[in-house]
Amino acid sequence: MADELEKAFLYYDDINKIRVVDNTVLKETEDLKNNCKEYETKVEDFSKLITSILATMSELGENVEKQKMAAIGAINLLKSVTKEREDEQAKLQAEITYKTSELEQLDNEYDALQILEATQNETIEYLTQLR
Amino acid sequence: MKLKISTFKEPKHTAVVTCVCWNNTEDVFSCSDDHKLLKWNLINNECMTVATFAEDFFPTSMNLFPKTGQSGVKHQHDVILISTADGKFHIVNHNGRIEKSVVAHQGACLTAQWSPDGAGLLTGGEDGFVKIWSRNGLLRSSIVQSDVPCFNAKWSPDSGAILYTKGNCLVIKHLNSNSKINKWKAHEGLILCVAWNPNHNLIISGGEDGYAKIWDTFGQQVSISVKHDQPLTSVTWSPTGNMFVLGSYNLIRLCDLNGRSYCLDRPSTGSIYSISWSSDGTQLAAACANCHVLFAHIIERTGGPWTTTMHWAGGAAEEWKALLLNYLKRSLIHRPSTDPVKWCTFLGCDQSDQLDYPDRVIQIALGFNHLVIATVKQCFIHKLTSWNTPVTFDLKEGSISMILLAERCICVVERAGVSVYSYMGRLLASPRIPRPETIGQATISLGPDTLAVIDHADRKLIQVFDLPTGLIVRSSTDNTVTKLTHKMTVSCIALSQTGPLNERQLALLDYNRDLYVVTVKETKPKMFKLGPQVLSITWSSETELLVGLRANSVVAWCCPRAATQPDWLTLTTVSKDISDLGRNPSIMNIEDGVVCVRRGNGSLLRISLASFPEKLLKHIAANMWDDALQLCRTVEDETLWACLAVLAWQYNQLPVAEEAFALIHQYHQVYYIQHLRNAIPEKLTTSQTLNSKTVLSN
Repeated sequence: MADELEKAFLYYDDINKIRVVDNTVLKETEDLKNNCKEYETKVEDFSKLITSILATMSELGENVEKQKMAAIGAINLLKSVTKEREDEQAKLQAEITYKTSELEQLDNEYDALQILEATQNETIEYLTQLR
Repeated sequence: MKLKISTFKEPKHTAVVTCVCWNNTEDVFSCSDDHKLLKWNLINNECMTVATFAEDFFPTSMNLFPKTGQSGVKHQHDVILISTADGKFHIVNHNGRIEKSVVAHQGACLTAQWSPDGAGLLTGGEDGFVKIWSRNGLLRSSIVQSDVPCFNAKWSPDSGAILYTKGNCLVIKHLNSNSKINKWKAHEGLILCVAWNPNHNLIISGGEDGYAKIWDTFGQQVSISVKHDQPLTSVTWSPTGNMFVLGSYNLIRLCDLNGRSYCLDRPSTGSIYSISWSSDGTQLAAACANCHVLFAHIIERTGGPWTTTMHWAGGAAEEWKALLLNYLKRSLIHRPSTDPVKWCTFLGCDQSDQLDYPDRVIQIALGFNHLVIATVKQCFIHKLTSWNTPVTFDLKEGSISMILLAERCICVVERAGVSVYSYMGRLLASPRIPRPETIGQATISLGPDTLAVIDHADRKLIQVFDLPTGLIVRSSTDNTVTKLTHKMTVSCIALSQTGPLNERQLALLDYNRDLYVVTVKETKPKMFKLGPQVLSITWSSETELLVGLRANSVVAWCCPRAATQPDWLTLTTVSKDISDLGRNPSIMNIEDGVVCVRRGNGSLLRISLASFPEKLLKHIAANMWDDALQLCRTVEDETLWACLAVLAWQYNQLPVAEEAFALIHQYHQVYYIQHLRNAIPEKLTTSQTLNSKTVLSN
């Protein structure tokens, strides 16, 4: 009986239920199904992992880009600071020359006034002696 | 003296600004590579777009039609000349409408300027041509053809010659004679900018070698600036010519005539392509490469060693001459508040107060017990005794360039004309003088009742105007004008400050630096030479004492009228050697025999030169012959006796003259006087002048 059924590709299973597929095949199929499910979850996990990695990477990239820009900015700033300093220095130098010349002038004036004072004192003395 | 720089927060142009021009004291035009012509108003800080030109309009230079102040010629005055990079020049009216566009050059037209008399214009281009055009834009002549671009070209102040750059050379070409060319190598690099001042006829040039140099019209170097790292892109004289400003990359510098730097500023503007002064000389505008137009005010002008705006002439109390007035804010004169106690004593008032004015202060003059302050619109006359109640009068136009003070009157030189006011603020006279903007310190002199001016067209001619004084005000038509002609170009004049009108003397320096003196009111004025090689002269404000500065000495002529008799002149001359005067020294004033000389480095040198002679002159002026005699007897100085002798002789004081001549060993004169006194004692009073003249002519 069983053989005949087998010829018509029908099988009994362990609990004598009639089946279209062979027991072993069925089992393998079910195994395969389970394996597939497992694989799917794994792949999903993997993809999640990958996206998270990607996100981190891009974040990192952005950060790097930002840092790079900041560094360039800092370099430029440094350069401009140097230039500014030079400008400042030139300005101060000009101020110094200006003040020095002013000082020189005042010195000259002071000397001249002292001489004037001396001559005037001399005159006063001369006139008082005459009296 | 400093520059106070201000800019608008946001640039109003969107491209490089290449040229700026002052319209009047408050309006500025600027033109930029964004094809716009903007008008800036500095009072209400407004900026208005006048016109937007075509897309191919790249301006290279701009020049406003000169304001000649002569209303007689009714041309359209408010036109702007703009040259562009496509070789054209455009005549634009103030509404921004292009009236005329003329193709002038191949390549860019680099410079364009109206002639100072307004009759024509010149352009210079990359093709090496310099061309002169009529004011309607018709070609008159191509003055210059060369193979190097002409970066800058300027008219001479009298419109009779042009100055242009040729590589590293400067060339002056006279228009009326073909042959006359004056060319000299001026810089190591290309010359980018030149300027020519009408006041003292000096030229300034700035080049790629970073130097700015000042030249006279013969190509002799007068002075040189410090070296700059970047090429100089613009130089401009101030209207009075006593300072100039130069622009370079991120740099603007204010210098004086001797090339000394007053102030350096490094605004981050990029190159400054053009700088323009307002006509009153207190503000400037600069065209910057960073789209900004930069404005600057000259602040902290002090009455110290450097200004020529202040006159310390004349004077009462010594104290207030130390008064320093600072331009701290735009509309405010502020006295230094650091030492209020001092100020009280200086001014004789209880507190240091500050004077407020409704407008911007332009000029200050101090002297003869008055402080005269000119703002844009008005003139304030403060009497030093009643400080807070000034007399005011309105000015014709807001571009006053000079205030001169004398004992009885004030002379105000404006662009619109010269006017003389009394200290009560009443207009005394307005002599007709053409082109008042060309009048400089040296070419005008004010006496108590006369005004002398060197003629603008013929510099050998001096016009002396009699001013109505006292209560009688004559109309300006019957002002008597005396014309004096010298044999040579006159460079400097000075009127004596005391004495009656008919004894008014004029001292003049000619181009050879010879000093002459002439009595203006004589029927046949004769020039008497006092001496050669005089650099600078001034009269004492209280006596007829003339002081001159030579390269190594300072000389006082106590009786300039004794010039008729050379030996008398030598006897009455006092001289003192001084050294280290530096470049371009000048005499500021003489007071009680103390001469104040401004040295080349700007410091003041006070020298006691002629204190006794000046005292003597004061006595004689007051007709106090006994005192004069007493002074001479006390001091026992030969020069003093000589002065007394000459003056007593001139003023008919025969006994005094006799004693004085005896003491200076002029015995023939003593005998002559004795003869006169014995022979014709009764006629002496009347015939003395005649006699003295006969003696003088001997």
